[in-house]
Amino acid sequence: MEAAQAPRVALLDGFALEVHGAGGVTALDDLPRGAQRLIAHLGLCGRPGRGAIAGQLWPDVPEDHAQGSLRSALWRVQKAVPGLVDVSGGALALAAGVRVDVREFTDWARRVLDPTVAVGTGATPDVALRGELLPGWYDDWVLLERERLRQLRMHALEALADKLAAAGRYGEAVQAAYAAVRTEPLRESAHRAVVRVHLAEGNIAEAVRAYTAFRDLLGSELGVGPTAQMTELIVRSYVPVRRTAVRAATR
Amino acid sequence: MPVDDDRNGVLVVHVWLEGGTDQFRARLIAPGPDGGRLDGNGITVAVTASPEAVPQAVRSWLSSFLGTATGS
Repeated sequence: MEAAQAPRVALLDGFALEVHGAGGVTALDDLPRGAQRLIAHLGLCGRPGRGAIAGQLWPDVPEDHAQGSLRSALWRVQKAVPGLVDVSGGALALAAGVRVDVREFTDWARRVLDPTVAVGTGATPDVALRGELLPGWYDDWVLLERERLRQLRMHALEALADKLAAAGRYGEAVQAAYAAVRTEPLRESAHRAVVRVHLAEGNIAEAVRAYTAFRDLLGSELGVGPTAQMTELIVRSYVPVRRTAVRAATR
Repeated sequence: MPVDDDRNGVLVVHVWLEGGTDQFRARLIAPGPDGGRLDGNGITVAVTASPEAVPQAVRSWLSSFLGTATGS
């Protein structure tokens, strides 16, 4: 399958399937649920066996019933997008070349988290800033993967913020840091990334503002203060002559 | 898939320790009434800095769920 003409499966921010045809790219938004679930599962799980797929997708019915549902879903997928699924032996997989946004996101995150890889010159890819995996789906195999991706996104965005700041791209860096904050507003490491970016830019007022906003949020939501690591970050970086003022802000 | 509102419930418990310290944090989230997203339309059931408060919050959520599910 040619990469440029290969179907694209989107699972972040909701299920979508795009295929290339004579009239250009077409979004197949009327696939039956069973077909969507099969494609999504294969997009996340690689090349599972038929028994494993049937057990995951139809866990509450007898095995022969689940296998029948799998055959039906596979037939519908093959009818809608011939060649999308590679059937070999007792296993199923999306055909080679089929693009899956979760895989693209994971590849991007691994590059960002690799300290030996410098930040690219391009803008942050769209896939890095998308929402959660398959919102509204509550199957066990979705919930666990959703949380894994959520954690990966948070760590990758924090690392991206630091890399962008080190490259002097402060505007993009602060956007990445705030994207991490949105993933979990109470997570301190994300707020520390925001503060670090402001400090790297020499913008102490914004750093103090970000610190105090987080401190107030933490106080109102949890009744606790920031960690010493957070407080030291800003106190240490502040010009000594104004140390007293920062300490007042951190109380 | 969207969960039928008769016999199924989902409660996600996020726990983490801040900055390599032992400072505990937790957020408990349930889907919204429309079965919506856990982040955007989900409902934060509880946030806490106390590990002991987590099982309490789970029990409270479970009691609410059972009350709704059984119609009692």
